[in-house]
Amino acid sequence: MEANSLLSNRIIVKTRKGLFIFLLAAFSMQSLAVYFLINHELLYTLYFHILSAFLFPLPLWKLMPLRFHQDWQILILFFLMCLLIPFISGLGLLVSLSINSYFSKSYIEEISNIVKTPKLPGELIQIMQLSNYKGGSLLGVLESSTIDNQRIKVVLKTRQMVDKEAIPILKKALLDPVDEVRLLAYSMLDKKEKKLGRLITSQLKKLENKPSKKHLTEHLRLAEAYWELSYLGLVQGQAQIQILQDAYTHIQKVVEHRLTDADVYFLQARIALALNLYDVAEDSLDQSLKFNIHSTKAKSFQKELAFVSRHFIENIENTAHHQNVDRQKEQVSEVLDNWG
Amino acid sequence: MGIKTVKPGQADIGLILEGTYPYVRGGVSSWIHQLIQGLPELTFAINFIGDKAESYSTLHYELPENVIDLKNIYLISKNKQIKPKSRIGNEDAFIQVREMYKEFRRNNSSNNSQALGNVLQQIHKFKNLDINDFLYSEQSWAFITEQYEKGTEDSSFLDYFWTVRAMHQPIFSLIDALDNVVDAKVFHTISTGYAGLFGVMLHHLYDKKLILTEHGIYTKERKIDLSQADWINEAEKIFGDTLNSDFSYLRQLWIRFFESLGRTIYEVANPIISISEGNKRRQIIDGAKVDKISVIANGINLDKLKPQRIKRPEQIPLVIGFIGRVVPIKDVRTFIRAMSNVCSALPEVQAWIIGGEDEDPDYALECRDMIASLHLTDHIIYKGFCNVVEILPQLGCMVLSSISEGVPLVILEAFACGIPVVSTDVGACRELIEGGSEEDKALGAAGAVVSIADPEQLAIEMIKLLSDSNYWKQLSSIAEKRADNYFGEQALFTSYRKVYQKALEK
Repeated sequence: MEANSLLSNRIIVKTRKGLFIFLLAAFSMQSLAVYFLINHELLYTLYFHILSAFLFPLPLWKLMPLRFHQDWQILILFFLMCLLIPFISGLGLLVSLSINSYFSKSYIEEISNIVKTPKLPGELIQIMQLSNYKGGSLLGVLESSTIDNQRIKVVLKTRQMVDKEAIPILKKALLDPVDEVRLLAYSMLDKKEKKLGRLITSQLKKLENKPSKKHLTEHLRLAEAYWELSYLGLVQGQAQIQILQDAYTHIQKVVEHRLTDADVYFLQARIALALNLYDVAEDSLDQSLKFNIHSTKAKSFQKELAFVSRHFIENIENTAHHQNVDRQKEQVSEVLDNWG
Repeated sequence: MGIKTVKPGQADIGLILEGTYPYVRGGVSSWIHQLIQGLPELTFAINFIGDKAESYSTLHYELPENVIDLKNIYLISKNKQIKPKSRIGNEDAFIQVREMYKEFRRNNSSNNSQALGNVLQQIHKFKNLDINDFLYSEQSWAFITEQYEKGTEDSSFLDYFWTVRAMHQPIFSLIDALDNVVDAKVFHTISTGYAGLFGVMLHHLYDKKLILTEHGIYTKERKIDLSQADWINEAEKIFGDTLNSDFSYLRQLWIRFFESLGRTIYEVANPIISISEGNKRRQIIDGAKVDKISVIANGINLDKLKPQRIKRPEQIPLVIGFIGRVVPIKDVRTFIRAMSNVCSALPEVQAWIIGGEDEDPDYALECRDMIASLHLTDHIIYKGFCNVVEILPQLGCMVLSSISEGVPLVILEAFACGIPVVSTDVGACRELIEGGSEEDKALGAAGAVVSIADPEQLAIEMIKLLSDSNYWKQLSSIAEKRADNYFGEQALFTSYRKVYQKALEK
């Protein structure tokens, strides 16, 4: 470590000497240019001025912070400035960059500053300060932090996330070695499930009370709630299959009556895909496209369906067909989004 | 407050029980019943603490002969309507109150108990402070507003004010109950919380010795409830809310309240008895002194259970037993979901839910709805409360899907009958199934342990157990050996006899 810093110091000293020589030469050339200008020898004036404009940019560029050292365009800019605004531009740039480098970290600090090895994982401290955290960073803290309290906070923070992102984190937290973390995650998952469970129970009661009515709203809500339980991963295994079948039964009842509702067809397509009913999913998707489902929604689903059902060729043809329609739509999409 | 005096007089041991025996069935209640019956030479008096009278109307256990008194204390009392009347309040008493809260705020303080003792003297002995002073006096108002201005940044005064009231009113109910307390030479509380606090009060005011046995860890369980509680009003932080930011002030206030209670009780109680090594570690983290803690494991009546082994059928019965109350902490829903997978793999399988549904009717209904929606009504049968001893030989395996446990007696009982157990990894379940000591571990596992809320894994283990007779027989034999070697109740009685004798001598 010491040998390294010694070497760095030597390099810095050499670099500084070089800079100084370049600057001195540039100022000398510029002074000569002024001298010849006073003596009305324009050719010499021009010659020394151009020479000075060539010499100035390099030391100035070196005074710039390290992150600009990859950018060669700055050299050209400095050259043009020195050429077009004689003397003042060089002096001005030198003063401003010197002040900037004086008040920012010096080269010596930047190169030889000893940084203590951060507590593993290295990113944890930064993540803890973030106000805009994502699932990945939270999972990182959950998996790596040895401090129970930090892991509890991760679990609590999932309250501010959308369920789809929060649930995998909470499920991971169920495996935590500490009871508090596990139980907190459990109760938060339970709360989400109960919310949907209550909705299902209330809708089912409405269906029971007046069996003669069509109850399209109730069937749709039930299908959505069952679908959400499955989609969010709150149920697995055989129970998940059962719940998807229930969702399918209810959405079918809605589809029978709402023949032009693109969103209903799209939900049916998603449920059917989850149940591996590929043909139904494709038909429902076609219907939803026919009734103008939002193209971004449909596109990703289309690809997923093609991948799962192994119908790649049909998907390409289908995409090509809908792309023409999409292009027309795109021109007015912004207006539609804002006014629709 | 209701008093049910069976045989008045001073008992040897005064049990302080919160929300359990004799009104609520369950593992802890069974343990208390077993302990009382196992020590017939001692007399017991019970101080039962519950939230409100309506919740505890039926005795679920026949009180043994050596229980000489039973008294109920309710934290929420409807009868007492206090008429608001302005008053100044005693300055000296509030000085003591200020001192007490100062001590409570210092984590790891060893003076909590003394400070609480001083306030209790002001309330009970000198009558300088009562519920009316707390609710209506100028001193009280000044103290509450002062505390609010000092520490609260993110809560409204209204929320703070009502939180303080709600937090302290049950304490005055306990103080009121002190006048009619069932007298005993030594008091034994089976949890911290309000029961433990009542024990601390008895210690300070009547100089009674206090023993603490913890099955579950009360402070930990309250902390989990409070972290998630919806009834605590708090402003949502939108800006500058990093992972380093903490709970809202009011939530912290509730958590600190129960943590302080726990620490105070640990300070006063001696000995502190833990039912497993895991619980002991937790108690130390929460502030209990290691030299005060001893571990006394649960035990069962092997003589009653061992004869059941020969009643087991030749073939593995395709019956899965869930023995426990239908309450959220048992996570019955995970068990039902797991059954959905099991029934798909073994269509002839049956599951019996053996336990009461009356404690949480809403949850019980949710479970029944779930069974119906998963079309499992032919497979899952509610048996209600049954004689576990008779039921066990009819089971192929016993399942425990709880999210929190101490040392479940049902596992011990199942093992005594040679029934393998699949359980979640909570409390001492792993210790019981896989063995505690090195010698015990060498016997092998008598079942399987899975993560909480993992129905798929739970189902995999159940299917494996029920479909492989060699595997089942191996586990059954280990279960029997483990029960014979380690689960006898005589060790439990001997240990408690010593604990009580030592306390009574002093």
